[in-house]
Amino acid sequence: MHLVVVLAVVSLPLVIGATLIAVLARRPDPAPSDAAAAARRHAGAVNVLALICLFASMAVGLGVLTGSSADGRQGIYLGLVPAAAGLAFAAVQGLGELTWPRPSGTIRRAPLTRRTTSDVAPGRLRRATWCWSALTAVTLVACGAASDDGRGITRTFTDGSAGAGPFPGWFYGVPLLLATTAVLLASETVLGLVARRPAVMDAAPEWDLGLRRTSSRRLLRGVQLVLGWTAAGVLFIAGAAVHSVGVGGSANGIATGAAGYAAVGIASMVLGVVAWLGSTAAVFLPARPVVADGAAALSPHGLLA
Amino acid sequence: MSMQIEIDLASGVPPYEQIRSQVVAHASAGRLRAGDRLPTIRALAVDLGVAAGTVARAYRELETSGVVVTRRRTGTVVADGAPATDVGLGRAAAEFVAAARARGLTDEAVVDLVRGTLLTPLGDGRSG
Repeated sequence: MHLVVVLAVVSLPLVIGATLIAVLARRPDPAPSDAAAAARRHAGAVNVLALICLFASMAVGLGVLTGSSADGRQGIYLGLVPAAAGLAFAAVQGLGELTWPRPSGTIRRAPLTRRTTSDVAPGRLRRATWCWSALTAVTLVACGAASDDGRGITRTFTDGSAGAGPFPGWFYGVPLLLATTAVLLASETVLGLVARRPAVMDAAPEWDLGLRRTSSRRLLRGVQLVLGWTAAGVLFIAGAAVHSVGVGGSANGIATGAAGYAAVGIASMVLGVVAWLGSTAAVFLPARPVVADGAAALSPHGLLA
Repeated sequence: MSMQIEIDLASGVPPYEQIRSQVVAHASAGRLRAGDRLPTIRALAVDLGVAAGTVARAYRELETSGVVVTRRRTGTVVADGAPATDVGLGRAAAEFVAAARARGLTDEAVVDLVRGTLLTPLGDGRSG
């Protein structure tokens, strides 16, 4: 458990630092109109506010919980910290979409094409959010089935048994499953808001679509990060417990049938580290440019595109 | 180039009529083809910053005139019998508009010119 918290505490400043560098280094292209500039400013400000909420929630959550007494529920609360931060992040992004600048002036323009969530959401990041969620769900269900008391795992052998915990059985699994589902639903809801928000006046439809994709990418980067960290934590803790019952607890020094437990434990821990690295690296994936009808790439992106 | 609807709220023409006529114009020019899906009423209303009823009325008129059909699953789509201009005439219209714009005419002036030409009796237009 402590190793997972240490990983989170170490990665948080790294992600915040890299994010700050990305924000400060980026110089957006000139906007095609005042309305477009205002829309981009709005999107940028909302994103910065959402990022502050995300990182502050994580830092405060981890700080408070690691300093508190280790009772039975501390593990649940620690596991819920990324999801809670993700919900705060998505809520701010959603508020930003609801307060999107309305069309003004007497001349109004709108594209005569239908927009769906798939049009505005970058496929790779959206798939990553679903992938981390599925990985968390499958792991939690498997762990729930493998655990007897919902909090630990036990291996019995001829002359005794070995147990280890914490293990993400149903005691930890149910709240984590609910939290993961809530983050995923919040993310999809905000993507719907991005697709339905008013078009930017005095900007080409391609530019408007580009700004929508920027907003979606910013949202999905944060959401997949918290879902990836949740998956990583679950996999690592489950792996550590399974490995522990595999290598220990043998009465006569011969761990009969324990090699499988140890291998599964190590594989789960490795997968956890991969999920942690993958979700952290995905935050900095470069954006694919929006190309209109085979023409030059359009770049409406501002802060942290 | 994407299709756009542009409405002028200060114009004497009601917004629903501007939407209706521009959808017909896109269909006539061949940019909208049979089966193409139009935005939902709510989405287009939000984009344009007008009431949903305005777009709903435009769509209703388009449906009445057979330009679009509304289906439960696919929403509003361009109908099979939507007005489609002859390809040669469409090209001629595009060349005419390009030439008029190149000479500095505004879009309103181009429309006035066409209206004026249409007022000319048939026999007069065939000379030369």
